[in-house]
Amino acid sequence: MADTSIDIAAGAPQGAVSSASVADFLTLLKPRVMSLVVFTGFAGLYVAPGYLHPLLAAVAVLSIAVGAGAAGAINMWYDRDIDALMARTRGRPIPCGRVAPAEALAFGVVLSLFSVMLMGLAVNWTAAALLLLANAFYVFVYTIWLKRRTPQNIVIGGAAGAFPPMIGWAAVTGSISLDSVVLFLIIFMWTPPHFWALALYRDGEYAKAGVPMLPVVAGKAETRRQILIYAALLWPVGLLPSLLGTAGVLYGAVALVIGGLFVWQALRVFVERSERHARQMFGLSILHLFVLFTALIIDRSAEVAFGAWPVWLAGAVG
Amino acid sequence: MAMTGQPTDRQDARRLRAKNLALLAALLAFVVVVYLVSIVRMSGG
Repeated sequence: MADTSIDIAAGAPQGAVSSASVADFLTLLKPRVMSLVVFTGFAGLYVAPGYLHPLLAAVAVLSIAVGAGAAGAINMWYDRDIDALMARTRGRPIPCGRVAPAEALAFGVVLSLFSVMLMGLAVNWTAAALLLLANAFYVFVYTIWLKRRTPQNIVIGGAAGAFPPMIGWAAVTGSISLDSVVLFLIIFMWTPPHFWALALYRDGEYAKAGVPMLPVVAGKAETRRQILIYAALLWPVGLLPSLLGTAGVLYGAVALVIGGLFVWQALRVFVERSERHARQMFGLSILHLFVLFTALIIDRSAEVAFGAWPVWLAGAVG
Repeated sequence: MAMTGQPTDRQDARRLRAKNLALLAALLAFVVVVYLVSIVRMSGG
């Protein structure tokens, strides 16, 4: 009887027909992460000043989606050893042996290059360069360099996930501006409390896999304190689009409320010290980003539909 | 993991066919996208 055990490093047995299905390859693209990336990328594209043909806008969003998915596939290839150790990730196609590591790597690299070329040829090369930078940052800086070395992994590495609205903005304008940098900053400041809230109740798994997440290295008390600090910093950063005139009063009001709620929840995590509050914080963080960028889109739509905000009303916040 | 036996062979064949069809669909979609993008870019869009 042939040995059918799976060596994680080698993946599927050599010579066997790959048992990967189309669904396995789609899983490699991390569709849940991709959905948030696509949404924020679209928001950046939508609120940017100027005009982009709807088809080119769709191609830009497609390129962002494929690029993000490709980076996810390369991440799964590199992290296949630690993925096998954590309950949350051990069902992924590579640790299960359904996709060979080389297949996943080739899939990710080809799609990554394809997405950058498509963005460059169809939309513009500034957006393509940003997409390439985001992918390279996620793979080389976050996955390979920082993730296993420092508890600051997601603080610095979080920049990779903050690029999409900037890419969307660049797709329309062909440039980088202060407004798009602010959108980048919002996600950059949002990422640490989001992942640390998750790490507060998954710290055992990270410790087992040897990933130095903040709760593993510095303890839960310090993590709760850092979550509170980042949530407090995120609140004013979330208001900046209104203050800079990128968005109007509607967005400003929503950002004020949801930012306040986020700080309130961070305070509860800090004081109550329960896993339940950490889980709530994680859920609220996803809602927070979704609400902020939805408000940006609605605000922009209202401005387009009804004209500019009244000067006196815009002046109230800007 | 498929090693021997007809049922798993059939499963593998079905998976392979699905992957080939998905790849074909992706390539066709790419051709259509390139075609449409060319038209939009040439018309100054």
